[in-house]
Amino acid sequence: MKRPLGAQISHMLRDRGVEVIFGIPGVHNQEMYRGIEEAGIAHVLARHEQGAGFMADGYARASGQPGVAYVITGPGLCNILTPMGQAWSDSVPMLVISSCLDETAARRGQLHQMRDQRAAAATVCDWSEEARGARAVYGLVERAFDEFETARPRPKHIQVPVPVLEAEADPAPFPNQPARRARAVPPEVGPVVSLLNLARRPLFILGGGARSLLWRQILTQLGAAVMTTYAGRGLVGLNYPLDFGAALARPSSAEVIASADLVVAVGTELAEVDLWRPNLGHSAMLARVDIDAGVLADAQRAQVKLLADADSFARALGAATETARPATGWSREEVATARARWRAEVEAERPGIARVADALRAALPHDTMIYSDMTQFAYVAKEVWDMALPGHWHHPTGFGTLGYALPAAIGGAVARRGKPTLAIAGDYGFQYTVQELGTAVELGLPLPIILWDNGKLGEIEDSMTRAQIAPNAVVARNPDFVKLAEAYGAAAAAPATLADMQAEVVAALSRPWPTLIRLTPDLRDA
Amino acid sequence: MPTLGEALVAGLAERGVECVFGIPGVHTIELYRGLAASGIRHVTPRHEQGAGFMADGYARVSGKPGVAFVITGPGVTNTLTAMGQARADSIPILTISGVNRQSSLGQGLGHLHELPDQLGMVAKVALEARQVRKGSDLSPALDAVFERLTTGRKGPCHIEIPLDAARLPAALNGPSIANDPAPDPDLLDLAAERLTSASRPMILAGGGAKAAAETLKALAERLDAPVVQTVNARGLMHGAALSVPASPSLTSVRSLIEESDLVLAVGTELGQTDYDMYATGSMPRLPHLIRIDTCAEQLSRHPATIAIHGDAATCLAALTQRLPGGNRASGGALRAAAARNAAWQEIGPYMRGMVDMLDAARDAVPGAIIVGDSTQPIYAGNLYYDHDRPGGWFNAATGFGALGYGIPAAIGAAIAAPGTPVFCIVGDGGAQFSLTEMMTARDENLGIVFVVWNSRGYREIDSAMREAEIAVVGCDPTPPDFAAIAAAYGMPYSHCADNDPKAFAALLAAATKGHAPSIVEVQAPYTPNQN
Repeated sequence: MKRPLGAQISHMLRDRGVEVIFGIPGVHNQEMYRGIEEAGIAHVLARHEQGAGFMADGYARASGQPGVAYVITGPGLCNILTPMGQAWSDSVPMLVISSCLDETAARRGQLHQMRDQRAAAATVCDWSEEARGARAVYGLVERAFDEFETARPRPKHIQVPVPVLEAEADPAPFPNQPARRARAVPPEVGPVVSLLNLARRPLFILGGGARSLLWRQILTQLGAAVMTTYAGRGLVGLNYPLDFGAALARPSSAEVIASADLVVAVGTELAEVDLWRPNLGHSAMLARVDIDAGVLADAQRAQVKLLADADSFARALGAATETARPATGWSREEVATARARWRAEVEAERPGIARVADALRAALPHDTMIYSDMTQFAYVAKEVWDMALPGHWHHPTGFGTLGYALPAAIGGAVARRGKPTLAIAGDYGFQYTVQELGTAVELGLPLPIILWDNGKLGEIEDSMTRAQIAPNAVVARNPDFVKLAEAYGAAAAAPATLADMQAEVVAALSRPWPTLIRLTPDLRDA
Repeated sequence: MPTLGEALVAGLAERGVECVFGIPGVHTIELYRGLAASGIRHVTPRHEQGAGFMADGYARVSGKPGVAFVITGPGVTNTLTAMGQARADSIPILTISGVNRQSSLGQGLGHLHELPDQLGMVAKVALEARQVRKGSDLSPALDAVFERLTTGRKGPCHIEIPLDAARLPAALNGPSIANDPAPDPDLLDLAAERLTSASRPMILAGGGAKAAAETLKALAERLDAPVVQTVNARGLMHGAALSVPASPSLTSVRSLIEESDLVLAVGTELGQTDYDMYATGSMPRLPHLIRIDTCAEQLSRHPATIAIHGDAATCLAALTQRLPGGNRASGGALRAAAARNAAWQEIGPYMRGMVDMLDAARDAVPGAIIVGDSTQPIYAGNLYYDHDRPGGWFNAATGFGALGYGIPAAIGAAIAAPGTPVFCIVGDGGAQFSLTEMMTARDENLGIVFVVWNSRGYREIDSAMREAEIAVVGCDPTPPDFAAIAAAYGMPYSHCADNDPKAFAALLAAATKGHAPSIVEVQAPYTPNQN
């Protein structure tokens, strides 16, 4: 049946499995809102489009499904650019659909007008296109969903002029057979298998893209050691004896890497924010597997490069090495010694945080999904907190935006109703998106929010001190966070001991609304 | 020799910058090395979007460029909305950010805060965006952006410094001073002739005439010409018999314009949000239009009989000089009064009720600055409200129309005008966009009264959906408890009803005496279709 195109878009998305849309309505995009409820999609009303974007990101990371956001022309789109930049860095599938003005060249001074909205968005995402008719919209949506499946998932933007949204249109075509990404087939993994057969000390480096449940089995079979990026934590589960942990950013991890006689890196950019040094540090052969040809061609100069989806690679590799003899070059002791040394380094660099992280971890169910912000607490926790499950800790790694944790955790909790979700933010970053507490309360989400309140931009203060700059502009007064949470109808607590904190977290997980748990560095052990 | 970061700060100080709004990050610490010694005040917002809007409010009130320091990547994307608003309203703001090492740019190496093309992104919104790669780039870049910030039609500008350049040595040349071109004397002669022979002239004043209150008034009186003021021109003619402080989108104001025999438009882009805010697709007819604008491109956009390129104050003074002596009589005061009366009737009882509240506030605290967000009383005031101070009524309900502008822009305004009362009028929906900046007002102990017009949701959008027969979705964000918000931010709180101008005025007068930030909540129960 014919409907205004704005409404047809929601129906098309529903047909492609979209269940939730995050956004804020405005006069310009109201035609898109016409279809949301009618199509049976839930709408989550954020308090700022930045919140809507981070929620879509958190939803996508938790569900594996694209996160979809509806925003208005101009400021709505500008407001969501930061989340799009974050999703671009961290390879998150996100689709932003906005309205736009019909005529911008000859008419100036229209409400929400900007010089070149499409191009502004194009600079932070995979692509940004304007659709000037129903067929164009449908084609672009189809393309976006196909690419989420087949390529490195990254945010995309479609804008539609307001009059085009208002015009009657036929429904979108029925969904195509979904596209499939490049699979690794057994002959292609041959070179990697040959190298592994010769290796005494093979080392795997697994990144956030290495999504497969087979790694533990494969590594055990091969006697291989492993390091993960922060995003790759949990891929091998707990207590694998040759797991060096998320130690890539430790300077001396380069020595371990140099001692390997084969390095296989899967689903990782080996980016600056993974390594914090120019080079990986390997001295042996490097094999890389990635879905993005651009990553394979980067400065790390791998000798073997395989363009493939990580899980299909793991399957083919597992099948080809079923009868392999495990390598014997690594010892459990050297792994344990390195890990102990690195943990001591972390504790010395940022004292007092690891003990809190340990206690927090002990209080949480193992399937808790965690969203962290840019805060010193998270910087420590990412290094010392082993994850039982993959894809259960999400951090704004590349783009590094403040204000990510709370809205992203809301998106994650919406995707996983009934399963535990936790947010971790610093006092400064929390203030970036604090208004989304209102959204979490409205949705009735049982969400504990750990607020690490050191009363300042601690990381920046440290950096100024190191650069011999008298620290300035890094300490600001904070609001009364407990009262602030209560103003939004959230629960709040300020535990004094680790045990109190654990009790508060447990209570928060069973409360049908969010709880702010404020921790300060003087939190006592008992 | 100073580092580039230090020299940049020194260069800003040389150009009269007294205050920057910024959130430091590891990428911008070099800017902070020289800051303490420079004498420049640093205000730390809670989000870079706040920094951008504060710089905007500061610029509007001080008449000087507003400056923000932000980090690479998210710091820049976070300020982009504020730059869009400044672009739409021609406000001079300068954002200064870091960017990653030059060798890494455009390569997608996954560096912290990396964007595919940060400079390209900003260039889509800014008037001028410069990357300073070495010491000798600095002075030319500063001169280039300050020319755009201080002459012609102003707007947002951007300077970014790669991480590996910030510590390079840099020397400054003295600032080069730019000025506006003088208007063409022949065109002024011609315009003066036409004005002299017109029998029913009228004037359209826009935000570009903000600094020309006296000359505008003098010219209007000589011509006996009613003066219709766009949103950004309100306050230029307070209480004057010739003043029509009402929107040219109103039929009654359009009639005044169309029934005149000559229109002089000064510093207005004739944009949709002032002239056709109901989006009917029509503009008032502008008989024998004479335009004065500081932007040549803008002048080319609408046909005019005479288009004079120049600064409003200079042109208006030059025109007045060319007129024959003595005030004319063209029934101007009567025409203005008729238009005012008709406009007041036209806006209807619901809008009039809100304007009564605004009038009461103005009269209780004369000379205050009213900064608005997109909220119903601000829409009402934009339709019809006569403020008592030039440049003292501004908001983001026009132009780019960004929600969340009010709170941070009011902070910038209060910093630019110490001791002047500032009222920030914001809806409960808009307040939640930038509520976090309340703490910045508290940090700086600014005498701002935050008036939260609580209608429990996005009422403008709710009405629009109902009109378009769309089942209302997403217009009811539950507002926080604003009394508790006030307690959390350590501010006094009071409240009143939306139909009690006396009580409202009394609360504002009392709150103003505290010389510290406070919240006044106006409870505005909403029923659809109130017009």
